[in-house]
Amino acid sequence: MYTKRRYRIIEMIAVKGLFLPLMIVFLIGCSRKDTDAGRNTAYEKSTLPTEQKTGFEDIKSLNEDAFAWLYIPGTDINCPILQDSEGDDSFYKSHNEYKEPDENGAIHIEAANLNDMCDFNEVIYGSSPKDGTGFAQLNNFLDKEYFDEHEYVHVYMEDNSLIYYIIAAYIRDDTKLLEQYDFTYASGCMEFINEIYRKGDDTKIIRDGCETGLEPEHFLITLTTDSTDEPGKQMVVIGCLMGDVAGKIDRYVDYGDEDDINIQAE
Amino acid sequence: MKKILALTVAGTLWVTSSVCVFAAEDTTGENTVTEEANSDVDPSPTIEGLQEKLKKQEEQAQADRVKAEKDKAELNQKIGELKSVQEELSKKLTTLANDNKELEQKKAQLTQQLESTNKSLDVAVKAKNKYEEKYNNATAAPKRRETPSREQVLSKNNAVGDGNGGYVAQGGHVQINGGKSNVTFTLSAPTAGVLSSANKYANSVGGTLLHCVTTSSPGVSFKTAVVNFTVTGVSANDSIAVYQLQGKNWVQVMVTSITDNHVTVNLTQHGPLAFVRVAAVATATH
Repeated sequence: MYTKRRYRIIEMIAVKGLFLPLMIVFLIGCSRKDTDAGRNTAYEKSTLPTEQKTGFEDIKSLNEDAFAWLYIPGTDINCPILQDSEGDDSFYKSHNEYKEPDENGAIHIEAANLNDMCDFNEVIYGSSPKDGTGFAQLNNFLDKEYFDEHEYVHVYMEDNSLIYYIIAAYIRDDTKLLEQYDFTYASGCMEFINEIYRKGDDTKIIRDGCETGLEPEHFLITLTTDSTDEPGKQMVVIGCLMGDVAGKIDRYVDYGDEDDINIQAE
Repeated sequence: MKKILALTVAGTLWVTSSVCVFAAEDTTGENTVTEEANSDVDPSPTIEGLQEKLKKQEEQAQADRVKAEKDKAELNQKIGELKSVQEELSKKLTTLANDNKELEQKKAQLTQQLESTNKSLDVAVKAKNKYEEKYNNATAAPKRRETPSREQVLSKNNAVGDGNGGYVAQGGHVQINGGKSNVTFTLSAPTAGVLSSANKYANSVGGTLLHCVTTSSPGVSFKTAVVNFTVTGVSANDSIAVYQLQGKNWVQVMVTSITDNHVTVNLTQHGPLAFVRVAAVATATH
């Protein structure tokens, strides 16, 4: 009896005194790891702006057509912007940033846009591959929650850094903006601004507080790709320049003839 | 004395032998005489009882030993299990310690990156606030600008004079690949050789050379361009042909419109242009 009791005491000490405290320590360590992982998720997904310059320099050394770098925080859109040096607007529809044939193409602007980002509206094209690369995630901006969460577009250049505030996203006809509107005149700029503010489009989302106020003096960026919701149309995400670190973005706004000046917002 | 000793020894021997006899009879059981004798006599309770008790105690002890061995084996097994659990937990603790160290390093790195991002965002927020203020103060009414005349405004590049007071300049916004563009075409005076060649060619087609310029657009390439040139001395009713020196040949380029002091031309490349007033509009060869 005494022996049996002694063995029981030993068992109690071994299990309760040693095993349980170790289990508690183990569980606390696991929960702390999960908390830390959650806190850092946002940074794990995106590459931070400080690293973009390196990417831009690398691609520019390989392809002089790269003149800027595009980055949208919280998305996978993180890539060079190119303009074909031969003036062929279709080249980067079928070639990647290394000038290799690629059906997904590369992110690019047309020859009519200035590559110093000083146009009223820089129209940047990209495809929407099914693997989610390129501009595929632009279509997510039709979701209000996603739109509200993603506010900025960064454009890094060799000697400047620009920040655009995303103000609108919608689906429009598949006509070329630079052909449809004459952004070289204030009247053409105003027509496009009227299109942005025009109501009656269920897909259109405009940032709260930005429902009015755009002027021909502003600088816009339009990211465009094929719409996945409405094939045959294009998805556009429009941003307004808010930050120009080097202060180099400027242009003369041509109000043209007297008659043109009278064109106002709808 | 000797008798006393002898008697003592005898008595002891006698008692001893009696005890042995009784003991022998008890164990064998064959001593019938003893048994008969014993039927009337009670065997020594002390020895048998003791032996029985001893036997029982031995059995009990044996049982206790067996149980103790069993308990010991069980305990050893549990100790073995606990040891293995302890080893496992030790390993996990070591792994957790390493993970923790890595996470601390990553945290330090991310903290640094966060600081630089915050700085960048601060700049962005300040810029945003600055533009938001301008944005909110914007009015719907268009602004009238006190600008130079449109001719002066649209002459964005160096106008090239003809030496007689006339000049050629970019007279309007160009179209590049079908899109309206702010690209500026730079005009410059041709070389003497090109000018001479232009004059000869103009004479050969029965026309008069109005102006000759060389175009360029640094940093901009195109497949097609539509350029509005300000060309002094031109009126809307004039027949104007434009030729471009491509290689060694003057090739006629398409003129899309002629208005007072303006000639709009389709180009596919840069090069010297000769504006020639001709008797009749020639057909473009491409």
